[in-house]
Amino acid sequence: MQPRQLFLVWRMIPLMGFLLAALVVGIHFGAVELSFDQIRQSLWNPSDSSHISTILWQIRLPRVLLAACVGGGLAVAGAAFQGVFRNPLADPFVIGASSGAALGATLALLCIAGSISVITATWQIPWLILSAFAGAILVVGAVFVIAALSNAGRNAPLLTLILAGMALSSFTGALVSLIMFLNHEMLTTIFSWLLGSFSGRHWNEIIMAVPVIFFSGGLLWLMSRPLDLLSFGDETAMTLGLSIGKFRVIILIAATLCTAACVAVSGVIGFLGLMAPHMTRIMLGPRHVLLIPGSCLLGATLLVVADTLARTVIAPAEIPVGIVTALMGCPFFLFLLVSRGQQSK
Amino acid sequence: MNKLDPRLILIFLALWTSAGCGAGKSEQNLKSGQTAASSAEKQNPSGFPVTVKDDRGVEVAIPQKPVRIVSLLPSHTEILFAIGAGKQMIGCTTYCNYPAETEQLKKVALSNPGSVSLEVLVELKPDLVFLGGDYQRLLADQLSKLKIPVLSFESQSVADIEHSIRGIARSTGHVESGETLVRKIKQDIAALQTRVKPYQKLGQPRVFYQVWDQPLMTAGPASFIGELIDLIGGDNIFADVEIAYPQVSEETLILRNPDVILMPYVKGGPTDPAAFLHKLNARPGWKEMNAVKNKRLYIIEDDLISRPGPRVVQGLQKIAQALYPEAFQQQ
Repeated sequence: MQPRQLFLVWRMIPLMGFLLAALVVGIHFGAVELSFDQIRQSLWNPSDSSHISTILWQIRLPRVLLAACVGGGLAVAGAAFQGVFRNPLADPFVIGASSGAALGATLALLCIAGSISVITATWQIPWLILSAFAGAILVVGAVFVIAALSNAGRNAPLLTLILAGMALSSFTGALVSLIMFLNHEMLTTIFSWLLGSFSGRHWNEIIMAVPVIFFSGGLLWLMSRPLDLLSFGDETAMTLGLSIGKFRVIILIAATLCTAACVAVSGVIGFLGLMAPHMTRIMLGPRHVLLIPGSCLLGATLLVVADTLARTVIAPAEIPVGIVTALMGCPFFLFLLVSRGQQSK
Repeated sequence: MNKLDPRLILIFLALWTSAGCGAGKSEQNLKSGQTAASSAEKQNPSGFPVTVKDDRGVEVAIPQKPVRIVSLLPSHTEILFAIGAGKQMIGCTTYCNYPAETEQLKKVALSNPGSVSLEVLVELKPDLVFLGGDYQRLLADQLSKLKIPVLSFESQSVADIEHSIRGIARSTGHVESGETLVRKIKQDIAALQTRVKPYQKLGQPRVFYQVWDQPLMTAGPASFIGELIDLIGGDNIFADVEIAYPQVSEETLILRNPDVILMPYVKGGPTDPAAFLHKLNARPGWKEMNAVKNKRLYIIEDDLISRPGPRVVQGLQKIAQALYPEAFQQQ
């Protein structure tokens, strides 16, 4: 077992290589063209106050790093949700985290545009992030309470969670739509937030979101053994001596925290949390010890690449990154599905 | 016949109500016809009926001077009041907030196309409905089917203002005041342009119009605001973007280094540029920007620069004052 595990760890190295390459590409390309020489020079003197240094250090670098962290966070949360629910369709948004965050953010945007804005002028961004975070936690909490109240048979809570999550997602989604409809002038702003974007994100966002992502992601990695057992099914897990309820709640809370932190700083970036774990599973197999860090690396790589495209394709204008992830990811994902199906035949 | 047949009662009821409604309607028609005729004689002897072709290419015959006008665009509402047709209006949208008289009008809808209630609109018995834009196209067709005269005029650009004023003036019987308004707007714009002209010798100020900060959104040359900035001699730093309201790259913004930043003022929002300046100073890379360094940040009332209506001159003047403060200092 031991040498085989070592061999599997080796298989992560290409993923690290991909991420490194993506980071280099993301830092090199942007709306403003910078040569490698310029980048090297200003990386070596961060105190330099030229345009290049400002653009690189204050705008591009934090944005690329944030994309990497959010991509990793979403992928890890996706892997955990898929494991807990034993459902290949589960993604970070399955139990209402995204729609809750969207509602929180929409309300915050509305307040910022409204009369309270004088006070919040400097606090606008933390305020937005906190509202999104609170929205996500509230909705997911409500989903848990509903599932607990429904008090169904032993094996049903999972299904109840998913169903309650879907119902509450639709409900909060409708509230967001209602707010958008009634506040016509805010339509584009809310809409582009819903599509996901790293535009205008700086070190502040990294400082606020990354600790949460790392903490919850790390916790999920520590839970990989229980996750492995849970994915065999409740009965098996129980016979193997696992107290299902406790672990499941810890995993779900950690994954939700991770998702909420990601959504709060980037908006709703779809498809990544579904796609990255599946691709990693094809490469590294289903064991969570490898699946979770693997998904993290791959998700980070994919989102950095997607955001680089979003920044450069129609420069100096930008595309919301959520559109890019779905457009690029979906066909590739389907291709992988088909090719894997043919291999196993 | 010891018992009335319920069916008979129903038939009677139906007959009675329909007769009542019919009578009411004809009475009203007669009344409105009279007022229309008398005022038309006074103001416009050549007058009605008139046939007006709108921007859909549909020719609409207006038999007499309309007195129950509904406007579904704030800019059209402003035009109607500016040419003196305000008294002929009965309805507008909740977004029509200028002039103050709009408060007395019946609010038919938000200006979202989907929020217009056809029933409320029809109940008002409008004799002319003004709307515009592709997204109200479906509504225009529905109204046409219900035999409600509807005219669609685009409201996107400075050229549209003139065109809309002419069309609205002709169909409401205010041709002359419409022409006067068009002339006045043209003169005022030209006057503003000549006023700032001498100050353009040193080069046009580079302008960034910030619609929103996160995501960073601006107005391209395809938008009405972009057109105004261009018209008054501002150099829009994102003139190379085709989308009307694009999300743009902050890197490019910093590289292109605007001299002036314009922001829309939204009702209830802060009006003090100092608060915004403080905030912009905190954003990485913005401190070194010319506009922030020289505190050239201006907040302009949104309605003036986003509505292609008669108040365009005021909006243009606000932009001119922001771009060329020297030109307005002497007086």
